[in-house]
Amino acid sequence: MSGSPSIELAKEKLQHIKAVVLVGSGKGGVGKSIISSSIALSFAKMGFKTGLLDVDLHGPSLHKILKCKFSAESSVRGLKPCNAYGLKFMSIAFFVDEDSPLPIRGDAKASLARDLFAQTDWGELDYLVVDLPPGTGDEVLSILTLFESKSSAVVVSTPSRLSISVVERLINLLKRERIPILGLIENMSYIRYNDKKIHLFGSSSSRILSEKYDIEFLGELPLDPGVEDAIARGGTPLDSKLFAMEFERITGRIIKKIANFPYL
Amino acid sequence: MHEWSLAEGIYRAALEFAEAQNVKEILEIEVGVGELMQLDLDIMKEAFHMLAKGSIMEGANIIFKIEKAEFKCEKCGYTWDFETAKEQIARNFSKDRLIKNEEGALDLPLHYMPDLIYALATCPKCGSSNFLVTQGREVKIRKIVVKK
Repeated sequence: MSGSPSIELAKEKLQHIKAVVLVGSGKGGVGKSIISSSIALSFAKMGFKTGLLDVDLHGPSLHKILKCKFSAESSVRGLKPCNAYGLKFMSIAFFVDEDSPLPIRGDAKASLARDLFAQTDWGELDYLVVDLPPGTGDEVLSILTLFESKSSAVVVSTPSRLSISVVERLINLLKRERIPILGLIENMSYIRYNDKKIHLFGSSSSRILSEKYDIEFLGELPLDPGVEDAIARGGTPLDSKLFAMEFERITGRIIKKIANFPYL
Repeated sequence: MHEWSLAEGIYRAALEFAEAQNVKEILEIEVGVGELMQLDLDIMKEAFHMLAKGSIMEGANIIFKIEKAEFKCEKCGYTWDFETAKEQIARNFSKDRLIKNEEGALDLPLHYMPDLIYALATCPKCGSSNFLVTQGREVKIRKIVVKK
């Protein structure tokens, strides 16, 4: 027995969710939030009941991408998540002022990440997409343990060699915790110029990484100013044609792979 | 209301314990309640007894022991209590972020997520965010009395 009502509550909420997709990178600044929101938005677009949880406790940003306005209401089933583009979304950003620092301490991060999930009224979901924070700290460990029975992970990297070494740490942690890895996405891989792909950072280090760890390479995404423009105009990353086109293939691969998991 | 979901959590945790230990009846449950969560214990008690109806813990005595919250600044060493922290939060917290429950009452988000205190409070003496909640943060089952 955990002895903690919050853990039991989290377990109960998890019973109503078919599968959890963790999106992590190990390193910040690789565009992980763009990717996690795009995965969740794609699932919702395909008709799946989808939730999105931002566990980046020190630097939440998904609410900005989704432009979510929290209702600040609760019922006996928990806090009402924000509804955006057919998604149920929850973030720590809803509970603090926009410019407030979030100096959450180690063990508190683990329980806060769990509470954020457990206190939300997710209802029945096909998929819960979880945006993990950079690094492999307390809240990441807490989430991996909590969702272990139903989770799989998507790892995000960039062509940068600096990114690769940190991503390797996350891959090894996921393997150690026995979380199946759906695959690796390389973000900011290239720019498109006159219908040509230009790989600014040379050959793909992520492909080498996926071969080394026997992980499926889900695809490479462009460094696309259209994504920022789309968000600034009030849309989502998937409103950028170039990004959406590449992302559709990636989502297809994720769905295909996840369908083989025993908990679905 | 948050008290109902926590009561359900207590019920589930006790049931899991009873199943694992092959317990026939639960007579008493003692729960430590951190002051930070500002829970209405009468509602918790009522919710628990309703959930427990027809189960092996129907009629069990549920005892809540309030644990006072204490804070200590890691920078200047100052210590303070929850009343002081609450006054500070009330002064600085945007009212539109208070959570409205089904009955229209407004709660601080701490009620749902006590660890948010680290984002909402600072040391009343030196203003630092580098403080510890030394006790009174969580809800935890402390003791279960059973009949085997």
